[in-house]
Amino acid sequence: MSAPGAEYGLKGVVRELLSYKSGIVGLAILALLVAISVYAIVAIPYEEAIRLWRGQEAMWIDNPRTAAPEWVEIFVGKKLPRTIRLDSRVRETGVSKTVIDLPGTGMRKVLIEYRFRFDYDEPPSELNIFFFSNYTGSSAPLVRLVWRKPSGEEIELLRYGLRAPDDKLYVSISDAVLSNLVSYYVSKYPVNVSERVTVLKLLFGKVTGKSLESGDFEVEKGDYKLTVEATVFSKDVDLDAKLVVYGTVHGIAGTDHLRRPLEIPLIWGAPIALAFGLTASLVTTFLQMIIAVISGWYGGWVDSLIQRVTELYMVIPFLPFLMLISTFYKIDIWILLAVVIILSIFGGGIKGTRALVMQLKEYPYIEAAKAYGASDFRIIFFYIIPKILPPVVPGLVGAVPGYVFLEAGLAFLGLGDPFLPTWGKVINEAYSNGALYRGLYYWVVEPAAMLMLTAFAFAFLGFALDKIVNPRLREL
Amino acid sequence: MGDVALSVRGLRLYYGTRKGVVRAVDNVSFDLRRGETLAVVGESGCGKSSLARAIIRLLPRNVHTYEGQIILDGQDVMKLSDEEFRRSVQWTRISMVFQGAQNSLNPVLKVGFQIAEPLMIHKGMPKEEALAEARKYLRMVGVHESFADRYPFELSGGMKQRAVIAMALIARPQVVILDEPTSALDVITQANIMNLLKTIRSEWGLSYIFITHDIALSSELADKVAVMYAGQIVELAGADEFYTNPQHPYAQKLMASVPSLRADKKLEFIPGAPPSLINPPPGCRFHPRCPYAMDVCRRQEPPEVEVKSGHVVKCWLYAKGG
Amino acid sequence: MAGEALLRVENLSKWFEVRRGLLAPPLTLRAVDGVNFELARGEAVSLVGESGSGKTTLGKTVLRLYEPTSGRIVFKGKDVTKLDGKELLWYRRETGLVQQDPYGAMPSFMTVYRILEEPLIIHKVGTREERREMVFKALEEVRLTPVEDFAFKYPHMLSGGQLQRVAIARALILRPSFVVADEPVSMLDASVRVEILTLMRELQEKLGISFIYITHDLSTTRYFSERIFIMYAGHIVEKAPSKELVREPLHPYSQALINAIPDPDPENRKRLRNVPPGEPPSLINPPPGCRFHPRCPYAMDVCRRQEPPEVEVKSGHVVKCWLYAKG
Repeated sequence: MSAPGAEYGLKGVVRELLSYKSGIVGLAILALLVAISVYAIVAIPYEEAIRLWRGQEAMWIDNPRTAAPEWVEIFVGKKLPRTIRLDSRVRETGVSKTVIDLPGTGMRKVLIEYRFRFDYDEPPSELNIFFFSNYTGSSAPLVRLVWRKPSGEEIELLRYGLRAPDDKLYVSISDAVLSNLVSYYVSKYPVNVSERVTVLKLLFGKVTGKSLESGDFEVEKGDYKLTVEATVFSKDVDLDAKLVVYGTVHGIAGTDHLRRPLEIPLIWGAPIALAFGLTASLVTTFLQMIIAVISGWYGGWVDSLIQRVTELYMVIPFLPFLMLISTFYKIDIWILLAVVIILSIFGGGIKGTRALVMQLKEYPYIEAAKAYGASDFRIIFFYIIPKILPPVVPGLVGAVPGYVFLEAGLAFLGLGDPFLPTWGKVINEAYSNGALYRGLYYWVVEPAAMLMLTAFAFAFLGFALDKIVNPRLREL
Repeated sequence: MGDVALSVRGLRLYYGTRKGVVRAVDNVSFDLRRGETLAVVGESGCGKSSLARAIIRLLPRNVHTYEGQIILDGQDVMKLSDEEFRRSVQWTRISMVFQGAQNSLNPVLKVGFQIAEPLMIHKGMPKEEALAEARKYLRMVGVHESFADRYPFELSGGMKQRAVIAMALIARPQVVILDEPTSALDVITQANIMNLLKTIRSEWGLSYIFITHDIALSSELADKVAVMYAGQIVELAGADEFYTNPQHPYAQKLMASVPSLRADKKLEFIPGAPPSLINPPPGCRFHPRCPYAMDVCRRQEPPEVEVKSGHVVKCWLYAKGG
Repeated sequence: MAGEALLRVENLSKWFEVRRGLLAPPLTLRAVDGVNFELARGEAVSLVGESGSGKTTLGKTVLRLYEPTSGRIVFKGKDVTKLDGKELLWYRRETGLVQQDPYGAMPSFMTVYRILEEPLIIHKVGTREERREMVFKALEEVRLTPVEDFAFKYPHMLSGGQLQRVAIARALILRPSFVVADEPVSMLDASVRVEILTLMRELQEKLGISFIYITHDLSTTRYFSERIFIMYAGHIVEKAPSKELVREPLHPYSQALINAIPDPDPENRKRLRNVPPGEPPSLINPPPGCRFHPRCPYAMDVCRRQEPPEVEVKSGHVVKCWLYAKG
C-alpha cells in the first residue's frame, strides 16, 4: 500500500531532497543542529542551563575572563596559557601541604607548596589565591607568600593576615605585591621602572634592567613554585588554599566577561533558535493558510473583511511594533513567540494563498466533491489544503531563518528573553562589552556562525524543496 | 495532379529526455504532389505533430536525432543551415497552421499586423505594403478587412482561425501544414473552415499536409491518407482506397471505432493503450494490440508492402510468402 | 416518453452576472433561458450543443451545482430547486456527475481507493470493511482489474481512459438514480472514446440509471441515448428520439449541425458543406425573437420579433421554431 504512494510520503520527499546538492547540504547542517539540540537538552537540562547561565555563587570563579577558545592557537601560532588550578584540599601532584605544631605555643605552621610548569608563550591573564580556613574570632592566620622562578630567584610576595575564613587574594592586581616585586628588582637592577610593568609580567617574565625599563618581558619558561606559609593560632585551626593561574584560552568556545563558558549558550541556542524559528514559521504559515482558504473559499464579506485586515497588517511596521512591546514588557521568549505569531498571522502570505484557492475553487475535482455531497469543512481540509500544502512548504522552510534572526535581533537590541542563553544574547553581551574593539572576535564570530549555519540549512532546504514542488525550476 | 511538390525520405526526429530517447518520428517517407492533400491520422502521442514540426523545422531544444531527406521542388532542404532554412524555406515555401491556433495570436498586437509579419520578416516587404496585403488576405479568408485593426480578443473563435490561415497563406507557400486546424471549434464553424480550405486549395493549387486525430474530418480534405502509429506510417493509401478498404489491422480498427451519423454500424474499440515511444515493442509496434499477431510480428519489424499501386501497408499479413 | 418521469425541469433559467469594472453596472449572461424537459427512469438523453450553448450550465444547474435563477426542478416528485442541508445531501446522493477532464477531476493526492471511498464516507455508508467491498466492486464494474493493481495508485499513474473509468465508478458508487456526464470523452483518444461510452451505456442500462450525456459530438449520441436534445444559445431548440432526430431534423439549426458533421467518405473532399455562416450569438445580448434567426436560411419576420413556441410536431418530437407553429 505504501509503495506507489512513496512519492508523497516523508521517505519519498527525503529521497528526492537527497538528489539535489542543496538538499544534501541543507539536510546535513540541519541534522547537525538537531544533534546539538538533542545533546543540549539531554546533557544540560533546561533548569540547569539557566542556573549555569546565571552563574550565581561564583561558580565560574576558576575560569578566566574573556578567554578565547583553545583552537585560536592554530591561527596565532603561539602556545597560549591554559588555566592551572592547584588546590591543597585535593591530593594532586604539584601540591604539598605540611603542618608543623610549634610546641609550647599552641600555634601551628601550615606550609603549602605549589609547583607547576609554565612553558606558554604568553603570561597568564590573572592569578588568584583562595583561602579556606576555619578560624573564629580575631585570631586570623598570618600568611607569607614566596614565589620561586625557574631561574631559582625567590621573592617574598606578601605577608598579611586573613580578613575572612574564605579570603581571596587577587595577586595579579594587588598593589602590595606589585610594590614588593618592584622593590626587589629595583634593588637588583637600579633603573627607572616602566609604568607598564604589572605583577604578572614580573612574576612570569625574564626580568632584566632593560625589560624593567621598557615594560616588555619575555616569558620565563620552566618550573615555578609558590609557597604559602601560614601561621595559625590554635591547634583546631587549619588552612587550605587554592592557586589559580588563569590562562588566556579556555575550552572549545572560550568564556565571556563573567567567566561563563560560551559553549553553554552556543549549544543551548540551537534548540531555542530551532524551536522559535520553526514554531513561528509553522504556526504562522498554517494560520495564514487557513485564513487564506476561508477567505478564498467563502468569498463575499468574509473575504473582503480578511483582505482589508491583511492590508492593514501589511501597513503596520512589524519590527518597531515588536520592539515597542518588548521594551514595555520584559517578556520571555515564549510570549515573544506568541506576539510574533499574532503580528504575522495576517501577513502577505495570505494574498498568494488566497489567489491559489480562488483558482482551485474552479477545479473539476472540487466540483466533483460538491457533487457527491462533501461539506465546506471537508472540502477545505481534505481537498484544498492538501493541494496547496506542497507549494506552501518551501516558503515555510524558507521563512525559518527570518524568525531565528528576528529573535537574535531582538536579543541583540537587549529586548529578548533576559534569562535564556541564546545566540542573540551572546552577541548583545559581546557588543556591550566592546568585544570587537578589544579584539575578542571569537565572542561575536561563534554565535554569528551558528546563526548563519541555521540560515543556510533552511535556505538550502527551501531551495531544494522548491525545486521538488515546482518542477519548472528543475531545469535551471 | 501534377508533379511532386514535397518528398520526405527516411525522416527521423528523436527527443532526448530524462527518461530516455523518445522516437517521435521514426523513419517516415512519403511523397506529396502539387495540389494534393495528405492527411496524417493517428491517436495523440503517435508522433503526427512531431512530423509536422520536423518538416517545417520548428524543433524543441532537446532534439536528439534529426535526419533524413526533405526534398522540396528537387532541393534537399535538410542540407540547409538553420539560418538558410529560416530565410528561404520557412513560411515562404512551407507554412503551418498550428494546433490551438486561436491561442497562437499575440494578444497585444493588432490582427492585421500579425498577418503581415511573415511578409516583413521573410520577404522584407515594407510595412505599409505588407499591411495592405494583410487586409487583402483577411478578406479572402472571409473576415471583414476592418478587423485588421482590431486585437485578437475582439474576434470570435472562427474569425481568429481564419486570420491564422491568412497568416499561413500570405507568403504564398507551396505547402501548408495544418496541425489540427479546427480542434477547438464547433462543428458548424469547423465545416465553414473546411469549406474555406477546400476553396483555397482548388483556386491556388496548394498542397496540404492535414494532421488530425479525427478520421471522419480527415476525409474532408484528404486525397491521400497516412496512418501513423508509434512514430511510423503503417498505412499510406489514396483516399478512395483507404476510406472504403483500409488494410492495416490498426487502420481497420481505427475506422471501426469512428461513430457514423448516417450509416448503421457497430462500434468497435482497440483494447490496450498506444506504446511508449521511448521503448516501443520489438517487431511490429502494434502487435500487442493486434488480433492477427503472428510469431514473426513479435520478432521482426514488418516490411512496407505495396498491396496495390500507391497503397502501402507496413504489415506482415501482406508480405509475400508470409 | 413512456414511463413515469424521474426528473422534470420547468422553465429553468440560469443567468450569470458579469462584472466589467468597478463602476459599470453588471451585465446579465443568459446561459440557460427557460428550458423545459422530462427525463424518464432509466432513460439516457444526449444534450447536444456547441460550446457556449449553455449545455454544461444546464447540466450543473439541474444537479444544483449552480443555483437556478428561476424555474423548477422536480426530482422523484419532490421540488429540489431550493433544497438545502440534509435534503440537499439526499439529492447529492441520488445524483452523480462525470466531468470532461479526467485529470482535473481527481484529487491528485488521493489514491484511487480513497477517491472512491470519499462519497461513501460522506454519506456514512457501511463499515470500513463494507466500504472496501464496495470500492473493489466498483472498480470491477468499470473493469479496472485486477482491482488491487489500481486501487492504490495515484491518479497521475493512470491514463486518461483509466481515470475516466474511475470517474464513472465514483459517480455510480452511491447508486444514484440520475447522472450527468459532461463531455466525458472529449479529451480522450478516438479509440478509447468508444470504449468508455460503451461502458457507460452498459452500466446505465444494467443499473437503470437516468443519464444526461452532454456532448458537442452528435455522431456518438445515437449509440448511447434514446433521445437527443439540441441546444442553441441557452434554449433547447429540438427534442426528439435519437434516430428520428438524425434522420429528419426539423429545426434549421439541427439541420445545419447534422450537415456539418462528416462521415469518413472519400467523396467529402469533392464538395462543399451546406452550413450557415456565422457563429452563435453572445448570451449577454442575444438577438430578439428566435436566437437562430440571424443565421437561419428560412428566417421570417416573426422570427425576428417573437420567441418561437415549443411545438410538438409528432409524438415525442418537439421543436422550438416558428416554421412548425400552427397558423
